[in-house]
Amino acid sequence: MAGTQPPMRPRLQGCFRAVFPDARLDAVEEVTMDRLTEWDSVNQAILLATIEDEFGIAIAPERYADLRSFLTIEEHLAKECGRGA
Amino acid sequence: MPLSNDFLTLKDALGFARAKGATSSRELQLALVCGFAPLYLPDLVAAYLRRKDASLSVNWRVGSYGGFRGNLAKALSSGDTSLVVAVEWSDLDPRLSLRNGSRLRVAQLEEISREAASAIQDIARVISTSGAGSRLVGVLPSLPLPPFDHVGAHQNAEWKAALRRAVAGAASELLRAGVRLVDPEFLDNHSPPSARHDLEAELAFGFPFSRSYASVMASALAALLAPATAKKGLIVDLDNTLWKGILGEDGIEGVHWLLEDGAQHHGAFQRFLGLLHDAGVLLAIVSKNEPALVDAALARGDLLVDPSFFSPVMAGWEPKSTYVAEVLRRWNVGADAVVFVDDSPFELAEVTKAQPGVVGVQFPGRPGEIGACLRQLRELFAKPALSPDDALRARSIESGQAFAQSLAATGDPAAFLRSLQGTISITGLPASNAARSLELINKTNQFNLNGIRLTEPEWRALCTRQSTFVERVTYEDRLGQLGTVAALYGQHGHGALVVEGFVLSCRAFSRRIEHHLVASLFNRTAGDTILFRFATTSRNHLTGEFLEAIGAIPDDSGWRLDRATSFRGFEEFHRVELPKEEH
Repeated sequence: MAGTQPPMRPRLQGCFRAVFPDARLDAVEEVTMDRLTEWDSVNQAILLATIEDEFGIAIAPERYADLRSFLTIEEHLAKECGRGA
Repeated sequence: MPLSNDFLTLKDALGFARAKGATSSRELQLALVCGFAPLYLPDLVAAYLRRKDASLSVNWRVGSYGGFRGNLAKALSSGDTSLVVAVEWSDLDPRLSLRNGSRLRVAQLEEISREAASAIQDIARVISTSGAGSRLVGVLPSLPLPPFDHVGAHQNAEWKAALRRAVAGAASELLRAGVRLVDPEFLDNHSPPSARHDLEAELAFGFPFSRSYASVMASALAALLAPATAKKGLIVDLDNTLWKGILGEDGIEGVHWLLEDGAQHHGAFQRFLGLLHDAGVLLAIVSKNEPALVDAALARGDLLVDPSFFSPVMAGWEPKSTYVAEVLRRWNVGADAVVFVDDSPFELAEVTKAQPGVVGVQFPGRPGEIGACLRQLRELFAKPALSPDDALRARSIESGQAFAQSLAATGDPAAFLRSLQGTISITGLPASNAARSLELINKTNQFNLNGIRLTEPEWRALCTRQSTFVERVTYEDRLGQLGTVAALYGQHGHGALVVEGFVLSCRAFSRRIEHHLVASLFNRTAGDTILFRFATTSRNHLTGEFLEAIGAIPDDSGWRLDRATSFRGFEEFHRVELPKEEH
C-alpha cells in the first residue's frame, strides 16, 4: 500500500534511521518509544530536532511527551505540513 | 540562518556519527567537559571527525548536567583521555542563564560580572597548572550575554566589558598552557551571535545552542582534535604574482609591490611568504623569464621577503610544469604536498594537469581580493604549533642537496658517510611525545612502515599505553642539522619488540640512519627478535626494500628480523646518543 502512504514517510524514516541506525523500520506501527530501547529522552530530543531540520518545522517542547511513536509523529507532521501548505 | 555547505546538518551528521561502518577500526576516546546537557554536540563532533576519517569510531565520556567544575576536575584527573571543553556564561555564574530562578537587581550586575570573571580565571588556572593543557581543545563562552542591563543593544556596558576582558585573559593563559582554542573570529564568520542561542532548547533540555551554531562549533572542535595535514611547499610565479609587472617588458625597476605603485597586494603576498618560511614551509620560484634578469630583480634588495628564502629559483622558457617537477625532485616531496600560485589560469591548468596533486591557487588580479587569497593559503599551510624543526627545514633541504651531490661524486660512499661525523640522537618518552613526532608520522609517505595516520588523541593514548616505546630521532653532521628526522613507536611484546610505526623523513635518506636505528633497538632490547608491522601503501616501497635489505622476513604477524640469524647490512657510520633513561 505504498501508494497510500503519506509522502513524508520515507523522509521521516530517514530521520529515524539517522538517530537509530540499528532499528528495524519496516513495520512502522511497532516503532514506539516503549519498544525501541535506544529511544530514551535524549534521543527523543535529538530525533525531534532532526525532524524539525528535515521538514523545516518547529515542534513545541510541550508536544514532546505526546510524540512517542513513529505513527504519532507522522500524524503530527501531516497536520503541521498541511497547515503550512 | 542556513548553514553553508561546509557544515553538516544534524541528520547528515548523525549519519556519519552513528552509522556502524565496516571500516571503523580505530577507537577514539574523548571526554566532553561542559555544564550544559550535551544533547547532540558529541554526535556533531564525531561526525566531523568521521567525515574526514571513516575508520575512526568515537567513544565519549560526558559529565553530569550543571556540574562544569566537577566535570572538569574529574576529566583532568582521568589521565589518558583527550578533553573537549566547552564553557558557557552560565558555567561561570548561573545567574547569567535565563533558566535561573533567582531575583535579579541592577546593582548585582557588577557583582555577577566579578564572580564570573573570577570563575573563568580560576578555570584557566586549574587547567594550566594541571599540566594537561596539551590534551585539551576548547571553546570559551560564545553565546550572547543575556539582556540584563538598562542600555540598548548598541551600547557596551561596564559589567559586560569586564567579563569579556576576563575571558580574553583566560584565553591567553590557556593558549600559553598548550590548550587549543576555537578562534571566536571563526565562529563570528560562520554564525552571527544572534543566531546562536536556542532558548527553547535550553529551557526544555538544558542545551543552549541552535542546531546551526552547534554544527559550526563542532566543526571547529573537530578540526582542533584532528588538524588537516599541512602542505610542505609553495611554488610561486613572479610576474603579476610575486610582483606587479612583467619583468621582461618593464625591466628590473619597473616591477612593483608597494602601495604607492598600486601594487600593495603583491607586497602583502611577499610579507605572507616570509611568515610561511618561518613556519617551515619550503618556498621556490618558477617563472618564464630570463634567468639572469630574475637574479638581478631578486637582488634589488627591497623585496618584502628575503629572496634567499626561495630555493630553488627556476627561470627559463620551458613549460612551468617542467620546472615544478624539478622543484619536487629537489625537495624530494610529492606533488600533493605542494601549492602553486600563479596569476595565469593557463599556467595553473598546465601545472596541475601535468602534476596531479599540486593545488593551484590563482593570484588575484584585484588588490581587494588578496585577503581571501591569503586566507586560502593560510588554511592550506595551517599547523597547530611551530616546532624548532620548522626553522631548520629549508636549510636542511639545502644541506641535503650538498650531501646528495657529494655522495654522487664520491667513489667511496662508506668513507664519505664516515667523514660526515654524524650524530643520531634518540629521545624516549616522555619527551618523544612531541607534536613534531606526530607531524612526521602523519606527513611521511616514502619511508613509512604502514601509512597509519593518527589523530592527536590517538597519539596521546598510544604514548600512555603499558610497555610502549616511542622514540623521536634527530640527526646532525658537519653539513648541518636536519632536526627531527625519524619517529618510531611500538610495544615490548613477549620475546619480540613490536615496531608498529617507523617513519624517516625524506631529507634524511641515504645516510643509513634507519640501519642505525634498527641496530640501536637490538642493542636495547633483551629479546632477539624485532617484528615490524609493515603494510604496503601506494608510496612506501622504499620501506619494504629496506626491510628486505636488512634481512627481515615476512610472516603472518609482520616482518620478522632476528638478531643472530637474519639482521644484515649494518655498518656503523654515525654516533648514536641513546635516551637518557636507557643509558
